Amino acid sequence: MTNEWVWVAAAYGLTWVTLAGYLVYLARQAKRVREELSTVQGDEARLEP
Amino acid sequence: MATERDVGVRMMTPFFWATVCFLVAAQLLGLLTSPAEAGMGHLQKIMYVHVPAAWSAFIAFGVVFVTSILFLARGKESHDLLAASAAEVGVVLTGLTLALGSIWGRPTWGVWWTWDPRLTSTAVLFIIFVGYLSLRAFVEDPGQRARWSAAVGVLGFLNVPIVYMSVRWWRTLHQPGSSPATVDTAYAWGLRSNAVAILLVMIYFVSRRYRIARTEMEIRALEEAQALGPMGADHDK
Repeated sequence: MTNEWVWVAAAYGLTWVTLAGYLVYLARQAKRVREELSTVQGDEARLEP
Repeated sequence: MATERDVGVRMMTPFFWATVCFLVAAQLLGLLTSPAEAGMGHLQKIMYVHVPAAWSAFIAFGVVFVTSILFLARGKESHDLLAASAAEVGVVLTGLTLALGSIWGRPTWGVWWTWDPRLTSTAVLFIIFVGYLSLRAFVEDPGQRARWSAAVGVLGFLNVPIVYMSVRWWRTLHQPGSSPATVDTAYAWGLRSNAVAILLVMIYFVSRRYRIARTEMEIRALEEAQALGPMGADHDK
């Protein structure tokens, strides 16, 4: 019985690690595009007369 | 001018917190309220993450199919970006489905992997869409990338019904497809609630990935406008 719960814990643990890992990846991508957008918008403001 | 809020690259939205709360509640419902199954014991509880992950991956690839057709018909870049976003999330969920299937298979079948029709067709689906993402990474011309990946997205989706029907068409070690209609009522609500929870996760991921892709597109447009300078801007008008 205990052994069954080990497999169940492994499955749920893997699910949370996978979903959290992809969330972290997306958060990093979002941070990168925010920074790039901010830089490009700053460049554009400087170019405006 | 797009602001940080407009481009929607915020991650911790109210929808995110609602999804996390629903996922935790659904998993607790499945884990704490369903009895041990007669044949598999508590291993049955892996069904609450394995099956919903597979269903949501199918839906994500369905989004790829529809938006790829729309792109080929209308040529709108937003359809291409939505297809790419759904494909990426579909790959994550299919990879998770395969891994969870292995964790289930080892104690129930005695093997981590077997070349069973359901497992093999799912692995083929995973490889096709990894190929789709690789294609997008390697083709530099945006128009060519969008057309080629739309074609792969449409053809790749054709494997989804094969995966779904594989347990009916061929002799297979994998049990017939599980759904609230085919499982005992003691397990149906756990399966339903977890299916909705993982579907919400999939929608959240696709929406965030799409927003990021849209913002990247806006950045490229701004950079091109800047490179052209005032004359380019006048020309655009």
